[in-house]
Amino acid sequence: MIMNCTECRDLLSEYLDEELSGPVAAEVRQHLCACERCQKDLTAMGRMAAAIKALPEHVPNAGTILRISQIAHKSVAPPQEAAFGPVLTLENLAAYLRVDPDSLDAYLDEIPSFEIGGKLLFRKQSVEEWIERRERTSVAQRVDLDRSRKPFVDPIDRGGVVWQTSGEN
Amino acid sequence: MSDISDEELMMMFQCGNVHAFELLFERHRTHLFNFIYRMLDRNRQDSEDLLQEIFVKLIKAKDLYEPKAKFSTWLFTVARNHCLNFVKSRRYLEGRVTVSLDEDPEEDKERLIESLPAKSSGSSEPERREVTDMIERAISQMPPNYKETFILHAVQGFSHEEIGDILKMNVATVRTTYHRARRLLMDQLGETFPGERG
Repeated sequence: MIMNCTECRDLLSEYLDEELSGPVAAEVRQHLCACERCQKDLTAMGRMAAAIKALPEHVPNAGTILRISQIAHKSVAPPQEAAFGPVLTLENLAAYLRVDPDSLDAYLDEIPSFEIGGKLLFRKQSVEEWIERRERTSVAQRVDLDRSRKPFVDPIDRGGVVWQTSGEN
Repeated sequence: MSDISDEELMMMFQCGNVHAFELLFERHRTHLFNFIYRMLDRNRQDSEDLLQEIFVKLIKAKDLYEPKAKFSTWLFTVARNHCLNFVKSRRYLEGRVTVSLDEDPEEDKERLIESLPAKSSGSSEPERREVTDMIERAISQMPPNYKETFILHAVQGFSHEEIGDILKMNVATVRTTYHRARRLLMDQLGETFPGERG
């Protein structure tokens, strides 16, 4: 049975997308070979499909993107940096100082601490004071080191002040 | 991170990796926005609001995602449901052709053709922008079930199988709906593209 234009037109969309079974596609093809009108309809449908594929892409505005990003960041709990209480365990202290707990062994004699029930504890305020002392010591050591490295300077250039390297008379 | 699948990124986000979400967001936000934009008849402000709502919902419900579902399918399912609820709640169809999902699509077709903008003046080479606008308007005026299927396949590029997952329809129904939608567009826009109508 030869396909008519109405039947063909109803199948053009599937034919264009190659979704027809072999025999049905063959019938459509046979009709198209003999029918210029349906050929043009197929061409028009193809062009419309291409125009639809080429529709412009719309982009969300930067403000929306930023807001969503901020919400995502807020939704994720920060790493374990919760405020430490006034008394720290050894593990808390390592986390607070951001060091490996094993590396604290060398400093346990100098970090202020106290013991309860065999457990070593550290008062956070005392630890902070110890940190401040270490900072001051560290700065003083750097200053001394810096001085010891300065070359002898002709007193004429220094307005009469003479810096001497260590060990020099 | 660019080689990591969407599903893996989602699992990383579930574990607290916000950068995984950033990458997922970057990959899908434009694609999703275009779907929402056309589902809401090119209303930009509403589309921006809905995009934010959908991603906020994703962020808050991230632990509900299971990797057995393809991420894009899951995302568009959430988006599609949001769009439908939004349209219904805002009485979005006021002033437009009111079409119920229960109505006969063939009856809808007659009503749709009457409501569509006037056909092109017959110029054989309309400006590209005018053609784009005509296509967009014609899509926006489609019955809802035709519109979502057509947008997902013809514009967004989803396969019929993926659309079936998103819309919870069998694939045969998706195909039938899509081809009917395309024929509907051809009835209105055929003269815009050189071809002979009988």
